[in-house]
Amino acid sequence: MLISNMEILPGKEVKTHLGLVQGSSVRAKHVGRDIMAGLKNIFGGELKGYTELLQESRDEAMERMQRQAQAMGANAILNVRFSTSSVAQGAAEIYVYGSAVILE
Amino acid sequence: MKFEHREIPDGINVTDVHPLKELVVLLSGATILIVALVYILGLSAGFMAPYIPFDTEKRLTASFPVEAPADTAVEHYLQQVTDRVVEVMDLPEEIEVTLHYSDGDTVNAFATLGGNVVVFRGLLQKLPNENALAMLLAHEIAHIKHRDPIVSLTRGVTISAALAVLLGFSDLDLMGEAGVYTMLHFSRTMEQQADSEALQAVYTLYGHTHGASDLFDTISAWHKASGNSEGVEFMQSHPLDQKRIKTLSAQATSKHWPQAGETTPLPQRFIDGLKGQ
Amino acid sequence: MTNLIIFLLLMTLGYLVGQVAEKKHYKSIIQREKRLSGLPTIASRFPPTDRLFDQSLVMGNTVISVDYFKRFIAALRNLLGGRVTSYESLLDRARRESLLRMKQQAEAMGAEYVFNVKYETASISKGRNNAIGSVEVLAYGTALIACGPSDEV
Repeated sequence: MLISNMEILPGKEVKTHLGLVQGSSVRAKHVGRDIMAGLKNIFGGELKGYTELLQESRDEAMERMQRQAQAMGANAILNVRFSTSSVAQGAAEIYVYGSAVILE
Repeated sequence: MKFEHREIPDGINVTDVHPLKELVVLLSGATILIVALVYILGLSAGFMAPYIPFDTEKRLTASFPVEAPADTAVEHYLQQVTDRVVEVMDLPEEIEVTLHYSDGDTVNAFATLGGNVVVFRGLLQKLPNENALAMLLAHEIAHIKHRDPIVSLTRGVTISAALAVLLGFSDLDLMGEAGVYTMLHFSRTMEQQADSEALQAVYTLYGHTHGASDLFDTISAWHKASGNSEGVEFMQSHPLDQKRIKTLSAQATSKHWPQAGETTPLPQRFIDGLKGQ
Repeated sequence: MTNLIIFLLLMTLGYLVGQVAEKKHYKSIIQREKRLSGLPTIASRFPPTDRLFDQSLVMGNTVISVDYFKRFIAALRNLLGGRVTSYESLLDRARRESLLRMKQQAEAMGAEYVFNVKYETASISKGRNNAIGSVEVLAYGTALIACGPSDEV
């Protein structure tokens, strides 16, 4: 499965458009991490717990989007976009969507 | 451009778990977490608090105004019994017990910070004899001896702070209740230990433990009369009256202390003094 | 005790009503998705150039809220960490509903395609005790409405 945020790939041509595919994931860290992140806010710096949280979410969202594309029989997802929203305190939603296509 | 519609299977973006199953899993997980946290904090507070010097504890309460004890027959007699009880209870040197008599109808007595014991007229009027009074005072003094007031304070403060941090993020106030019920476990243990210590004192004073059962029978009778149903033990800070009586009588039996004997009546001027006010 | 009763009542009510509403909504979403399946929505920015099209911005938005039961589950999940399943279906519904509304608008214009589809998500009514109230999802894109003969460039 080819995933790209470009819509024209050099040397490849889109044979068939199959429409939008999307993946999303909402995750939360346990309260210990939330408290540690709160403390970390005093000193600044990377909030490792949350970096990890968002990365896990992103991986899962990508995986779900790919499953949708696979189910449609696509071999590439073009023009992929990520969007992040915080639906709740300490929980993050990652949303990823793109065009499922069949490449030549 | 060619477009083809193909069906996307449903439910890829939704995890398939039954909501009720998830509720059960999460609820038990959160309850275990909170109960364990409160239990650990409670234990450590109970362990650390007695190391707070008694002087510091006394200074905490020094700022509160206290009525000067009037020199009436009632207070005189109460002080006399207290002194006798203190003598047999073998208190650590730095601990001092101060008795306060309160002219209120409340059927209660309590021990608080700084070695202060407060007894209310309402409860004193119900006592049948001196043995029961001695048991009552010994129970409160045992709390002082075990440093229970300061332990409870420390425990309460640390646990509520921890729960506030833990649950402050969300509106999970209800989960705090799990913490409160866990805390009650500690206060029940305190009561039991104080009971047992007091029983020992009453035995040393009178050679039998008759006063103990008299005291709890009195309280039990009052509970029933006032319609104050005891409810579920799980939700009470004190062990249930019947259970207390049973535990104490078991203790007396195992130590071969006689449970019946001559009781010392309360002096007439004390009873009159209670009525007169 | 009263607190507990109110809580249990809200939980049961939230659960029963929430489940029914969700099932109903999904049913209607699936039905409308089938009906509108002939109208392609594509994330690409480059429309087909073999014909002339009129363009028009189309959009659809949805604000959806989570029921008491799911909110409680999410709050517990926040304590223990992990996948917040109760919000997954909430957002899934909001996204699909928004896209459908956008497609309905495009269909009413007689559009043939919707290009450059994008989503925007915002959580509103935050701040009240940090509780998550509701989520708005906006889907927007450019509807292409055929106007010229197919052999013109």
